[in-house]
Amino acid sequence: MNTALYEDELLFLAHSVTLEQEAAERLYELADTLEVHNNRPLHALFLELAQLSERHASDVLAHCQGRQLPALQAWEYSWPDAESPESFQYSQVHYLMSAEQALQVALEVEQNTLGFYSDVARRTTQPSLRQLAEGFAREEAEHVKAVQARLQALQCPALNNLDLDPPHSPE
Amino acid sequence: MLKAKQYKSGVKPIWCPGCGHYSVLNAITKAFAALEQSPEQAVLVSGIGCSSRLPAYLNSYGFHGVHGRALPLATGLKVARPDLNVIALGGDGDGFSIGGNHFLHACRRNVDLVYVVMDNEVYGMTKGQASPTTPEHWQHSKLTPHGPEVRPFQPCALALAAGAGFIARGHSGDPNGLAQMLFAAVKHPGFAFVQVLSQCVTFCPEQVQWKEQVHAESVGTDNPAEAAHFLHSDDGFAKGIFYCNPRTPWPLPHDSQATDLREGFRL
Repeated sequence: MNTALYEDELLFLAHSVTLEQEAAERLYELADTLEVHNNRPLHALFLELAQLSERHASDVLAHCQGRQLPALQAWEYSWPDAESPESFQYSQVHYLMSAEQALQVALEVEQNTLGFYSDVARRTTQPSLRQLAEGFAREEAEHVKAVQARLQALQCPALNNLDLDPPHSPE
Repeated sequence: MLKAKQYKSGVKPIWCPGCGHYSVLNAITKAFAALEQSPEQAVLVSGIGCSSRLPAYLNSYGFHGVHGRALPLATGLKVARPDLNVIALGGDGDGFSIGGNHFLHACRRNVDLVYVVMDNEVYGMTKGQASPTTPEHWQHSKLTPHGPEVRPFQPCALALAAGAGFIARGHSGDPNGLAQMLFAAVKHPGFAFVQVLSQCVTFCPEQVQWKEQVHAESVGTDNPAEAAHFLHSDDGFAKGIFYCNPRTPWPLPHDSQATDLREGFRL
C-alpha cells in the first residue's frame, strides 16, 4: 500500500469515504439483483446491510465537513487488495446462496475493513490520524460483532466454508 | 463532473448474482467519470447475450443490436458521428462465433472505437453451452458431453494478427484496474480491443478460481513481433495492456469528398 496513506489525513479520509460508499453501492446493487431474482429473504437482508453501510458512509463524511479531500481516480486508491476492503467480490455471491453464506460474506468484508483501519492506526505517526483510524476501527469492530451475532442466531453448524450450490442446468 | 454511479440508468440488472458483468458495468462508469464526459457523448452498442444487456444499465445512448452485429453497427455509427465516443460490447459467443468475421475486419479496418468482450467461455443466456472460448475438455453441457474437443479461440492473438492497434485483457475481479484499461482504450486513436475475463458463476462455477489464476503482465509493447511472442506463450490468464501501436484510424482523410465524386459521375 501507498505509505502516504499512513501519514496524510485527507488521503486517509478520501479512502474511508470511498470505502464506505462503494460498500453501500455494492450491497444495494446485490439487494436489487436478489429482488429481481425473487429471493426476498436475501433481498431484505442485503437491503438492511446496505442501509447500515450507507449510514456509516454518512458518519465518515461528517468527519470531512469543510475539508477538501483529494480527488482520486478509481485506480489511484491504495487498497490492500484489488478493491476497497468492504466491497465483497462479485464472485463471492450466487443466486442460490443461503442466509448463512450471505452473512459469512458480510462478516468477511467487515473483518477486512477492521483490518484496514487497524493497520493505519498501527502504522501512522500522526496522532490525529491515529485517533481517527482507531475510531473507525472501533465502529467496524462493532459491525463484526453484530454480524457474528446474526450468524450465531441462525445456529448454523458449518460456518467456515462457502459451499456454493452446483449450477442449474435444465437442458 | 459526474460520479461513477451517476452514469447508471437506474434499470436493475437481471444478471445472476455473482456475474462478472456487474464489475465491467462498474468499471465502465469509473472510466467515464475519469474521462469527464457527459453521458450524451457516449454510445454503447451491443449484440445479443447476457453481456449485451449492458447498454440498458447506463444512461448514455445505447443500441441493443442483433446477434454478432455489434461491430458493424458501431462502425457505421462512428463513421457517421465521429464526435461520439463509441463502445461496442458483447460476449464471447456473440463476438467470436456469429460475429467472428466482423471482429477480424474491425481489427483490420481500425475505426476509432472500443470493443469490450466479456468472456465467460460459455453461452449463459441459453443456459450454458460451449462457446468459441470454452476450454477443450469442459464437460458441463449435455450438448458436448466430452467437452467441445476443439481448441479454444485465442482472441488477443487473433486481434494482433488481424491488425488491431490496442490489445488488452482485464479481469472482473479487478474493476479498478479494468477502469484504467478502458480509460486507456478510449484514449487510444483507432480500434481498441479489451477482452475481460468475466466469470459466469451459474454455469461455470469453477471460474470463481480465476481470481487466483489471473496475473498482471507489463508487456505494453508497440512491437508486433514481441506481442506475438508473448501472446503465443500466454496461459490465457495474463492481464494488462499487451500491445499499443496507434495508427491513423479509418476512414482516412481525403481531399475529395463524396459530393465531388457525384459531380464527376454526373451524366
